[in-house]
Amino acid sequence: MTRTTGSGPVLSADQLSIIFDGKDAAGHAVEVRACNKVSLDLHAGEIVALVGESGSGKTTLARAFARIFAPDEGEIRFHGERITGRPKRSFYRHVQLVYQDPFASLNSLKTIRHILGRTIRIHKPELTRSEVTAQILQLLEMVALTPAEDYIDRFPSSLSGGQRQRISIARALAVEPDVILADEPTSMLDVSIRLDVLNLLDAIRRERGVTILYITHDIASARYVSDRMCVMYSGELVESGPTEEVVSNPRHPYTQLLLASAPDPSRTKPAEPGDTPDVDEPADPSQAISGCRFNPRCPAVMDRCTAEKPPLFTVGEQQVKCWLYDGVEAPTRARSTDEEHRP
Amino acid sequence: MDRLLRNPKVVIGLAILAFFVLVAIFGPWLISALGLNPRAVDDGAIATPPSADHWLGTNNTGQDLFAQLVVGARGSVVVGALAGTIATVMAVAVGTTSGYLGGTADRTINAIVNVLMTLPGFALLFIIAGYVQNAGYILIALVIGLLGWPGGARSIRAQTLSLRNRDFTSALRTTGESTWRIILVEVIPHLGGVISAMFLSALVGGIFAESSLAFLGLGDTSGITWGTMIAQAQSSGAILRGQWWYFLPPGLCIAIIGFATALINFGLDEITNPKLNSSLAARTRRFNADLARANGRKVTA
Ligand SMILES: Nc1ncnc2c1ncn2[C@@H]1O[C@H](COP(=O)(O)OP(=O)(O)OP(=O)(O)O)[C@@H](O)[C@H]1O
Ligand SMILES: [Mg+2]
Repeated sequence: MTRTTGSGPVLSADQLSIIFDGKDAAGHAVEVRACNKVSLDLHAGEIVALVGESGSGKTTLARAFARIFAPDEGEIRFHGERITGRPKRSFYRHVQLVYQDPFASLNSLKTIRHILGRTIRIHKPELTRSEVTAQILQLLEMVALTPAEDYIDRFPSSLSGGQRQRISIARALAVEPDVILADEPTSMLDVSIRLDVLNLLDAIRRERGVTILYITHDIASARYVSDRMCVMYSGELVESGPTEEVVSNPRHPYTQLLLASAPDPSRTKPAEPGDTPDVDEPADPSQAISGCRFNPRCPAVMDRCTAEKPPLFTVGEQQVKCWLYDGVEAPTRARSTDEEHRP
Repeated sequence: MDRLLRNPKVVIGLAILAFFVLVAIFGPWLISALGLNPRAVDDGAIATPPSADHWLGTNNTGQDLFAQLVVGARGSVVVGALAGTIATVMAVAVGTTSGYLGGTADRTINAIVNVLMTLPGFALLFIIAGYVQNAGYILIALVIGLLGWPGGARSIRAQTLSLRNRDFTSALRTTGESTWRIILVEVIPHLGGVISAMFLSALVGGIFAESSLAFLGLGDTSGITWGTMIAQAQSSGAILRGQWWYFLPPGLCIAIIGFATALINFGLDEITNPKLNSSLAARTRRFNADLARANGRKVTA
């Protein structure tokens, strides 16, 4: 894959939709837009946090970036070039996915040595056996599985969820990729190791300029490690901007709701308890909703919200998909506004 | 491999099979080394029960049955092993390709498998053996093997399909692993149970089919196999006359091989089904923890 130098994004989604065949409540076949016209740029050396409740399409977006799902609409671009139809092995030399479920994503019949060793060998076939072993040990140490010699010949079944999660991270690091798509990589780690892993991600970003998409439910850790934060709701990207801006000054009513429900004591602007509706209600992407998908739950819902889908509005450094910001603070609309606008 | 050899069922089953394989390979030499000849006729001992002279007795023409049993192992084991190998290789190749690749390839292969599965295997074998006078046991093995794979291919396909949709194969694809390596190195070990079950049942099926053909007079009448021994016992009325030494040993050998294959299958099931393992280990651990807690409570109380 040719790599154009320049300041453009390393990996980007452009109006990307991923559509699954699903069933609605009555059992009729419907299309589930797990990702709906999502545009997201990942720039070299940045850590982008992707947050949103369960079922909002975070994993689907990461898997589309990793070319597990082919785009049903829109494009994935790598250094500005469409990736559809390009050879995959060389793509995976640069882009790696850390799977969400560490119990399902490791072959239970293979040792750690095999799992990590193969990954190294695929991309560096010139290494000798002892060089590969040395690299495996080094990777295990990086993810704090020490003493590494004790882990190298074990099977995944003898490891805990958190230990497996670190093997998954080590597998992605083994390739020395440019982009790591980390799907809730620390969800099963206890607090002390979670911090180690976050620091590790931050270190490889600083030392090697690796780009990281960090998917998480944990707002505090997203705030700790990320430069930018993107909020997904029901298959759509509803808000994005510099992490500190989004956290301290959330614009979209859903982001406000999400932050209000997150246990983060350092948040500067807590939402009023009274004006946040029930958080448990799921954002089911198979449900047909006209206008803004958040309107059934939105405390600030207007007539317009049920009639028309909002485009992305630029508010300060943030981009928000909400009619509240139509012409309020920024006269210039976001780049892709016209394409996004659905009558 | 290590875990295989630590399972007693597998070890015993393999030992039995290995014994018969050794007999099949070295049996004829051993018999001539002992100065025996399975075709030599001892006029003084017609249809005699086991004795010091004839360890397993003689048949109604005065031939030594021990010599026949040992020499006959080769034909039976070769037919079984060859038929089992052919059927298994075909089933694994077709089943994994079909299940892993999916799409048009899968649909085409599935259609062919469905047609083949409607063929009555043994009847076909019967007809072929009838046409090819005195079909040698290699040919019989080929026919049994080539008719025996569709059922196995179908179950291997189903398992491959579900493995293909598991995250770990997806993770291998996104590390850039090649399709054939994923199938051969990563997926096929998960099919160990099905594959060995199907190999062993094809092996026993091959031995049975050969014996049945021989019994019906359609085998290689010039050769000696366990099947021809039983057939001769039947035609000379040994079964009616209760000359057990004539028909029991070859039948018993077939049964022991069947038993050994069943043992291996049970053992493999324990190994390749990690749930069986880990749930047992987990239950033991939980039990021990509960016990320790109960003891601790007693001490503190
Ligand atoms: N292979 C699939 N087939 C059909 N529907 C799917 C498939 N994968 C995901 N979905 C649906 O797409 C939606 C988004 O799922 P996704 O796994 O991307 O959510 P998520 O944001 O990662 O959630 P979580 O935080 O629980 O991991 C869900 O409604 C899910 O049911
Ligand atoms: Mg997910």
